[in-house]
Amino acid sequence: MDRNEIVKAVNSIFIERFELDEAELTPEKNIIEELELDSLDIVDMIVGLQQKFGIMLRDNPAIRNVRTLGDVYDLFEKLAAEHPEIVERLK
Amino acid sequence: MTLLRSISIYSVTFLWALLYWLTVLLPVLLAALLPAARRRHRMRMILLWFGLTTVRWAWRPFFKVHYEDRSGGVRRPGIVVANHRSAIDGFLVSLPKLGMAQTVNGWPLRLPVIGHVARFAGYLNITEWDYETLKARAKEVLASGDPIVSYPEGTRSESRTMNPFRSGIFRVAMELDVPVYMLCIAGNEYMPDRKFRFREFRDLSVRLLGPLTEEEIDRCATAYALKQKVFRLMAGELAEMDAELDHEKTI
Repeated sequence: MDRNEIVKAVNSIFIERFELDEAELTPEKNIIEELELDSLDIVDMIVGLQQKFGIMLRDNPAIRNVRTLGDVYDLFEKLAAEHPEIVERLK
Repeated sequence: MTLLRSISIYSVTFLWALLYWLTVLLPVLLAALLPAARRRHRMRMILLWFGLTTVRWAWRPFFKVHYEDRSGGVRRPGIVVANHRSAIDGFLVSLPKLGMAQTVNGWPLRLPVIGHVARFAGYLNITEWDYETLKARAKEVLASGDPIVSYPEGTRSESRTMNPFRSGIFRVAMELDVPVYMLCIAGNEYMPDRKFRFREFRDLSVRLLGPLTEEEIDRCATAYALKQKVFRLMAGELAEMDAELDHEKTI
C-alpha cells in the first residue's frame, strides 16, 4: 500500500467528519494550532481513524506523539506495514 | 484620560452594585429557601436584572448599547453562543432578557455575593467539571426552561478577531438536541482591555441571531463541524457590525 492511499484514507476522515477542504490538508499542518481541533475533536478524529482503518488506536502510545497531519500519515504508513488487515480493509 | 475614564465607570458600577444587591438582599434570601429548580431560576433572574440594569442605567452616561434580536425570539431553550472580547460581556449577555445560566471559568464563582448567587443559579463551571458533568448540569438547566450562554473562545480575545472555538458546548447542543443561538457583541474590544483599563468609551452593538435548528445541527457530522459553522456565521456578522460602528463613529 503506497503513501498516497494512506493520505487519501486519512484525509477522507478530515473531510467527512470535520468538513475541511482537501486543499487545507497538507502534511505540515499542525492539528491543534492550524486545523483548530481541540481535545474533544481529537477523540472524534481517533474514533474516525479507528473505524476507517479497523484498528484500535487509544492504547497505541504513538498516537500521543502526533502533532501534524504528516505525523498521522507516517503513523498509518507504519501501521499498514505491520498490519496487513488494514490494507485489505481499504481495498 | 484612561485613568479618569476607568475610575469613573468603576466607581459608578461599584455604587450601582452596592445599591442593587442591598435592594435585592431580601428576595435573594427568600429565593434561597425555595426548592432547587425554582431557586436556581429565581437566582438567574436576579443576576439577569443586575446585568440589565447595569448596562441600561449605570453605564448609560458613558456609552449606549444598541441591541437587536434577529432570532425571532428564543422559543425553545438552547445554547446561546457569545463571542468574548472583554470583561463586560458577562453583563451584555443580559440584553436578550433571558434568565440564563452562563458557563464560567472558576474565578467568577469565587467573587463575593455575585459568585455565591451564580452558584445558587446553577452557573456551569467549565474549568472544574469534566465533559459528562457539564452535559448533565446543562441538561438540568435546559430542562428547567432556561437557556445557557457560553463563550466558546474560552478567554477574552481583546480584539476584533475571535479566538478559535472549543467544541465542548457544541457537542452538548448536538447530544441534547437543542437549538444554537448566536449572540454577537461588537465595539467593546478595549472596554476594558486585558488590564481592565477603559481606553475609550464608544457605543456598542449586540445582536442575537439564529437559531440553528436541530435539523441544521444534525447536518454537521461532528461538534467540530458545528463549531466552525457557527464561527463563520458569527465572524461574518461581527465584521458587518464593526463596519457599521466605525461608520457611525466617523459621521
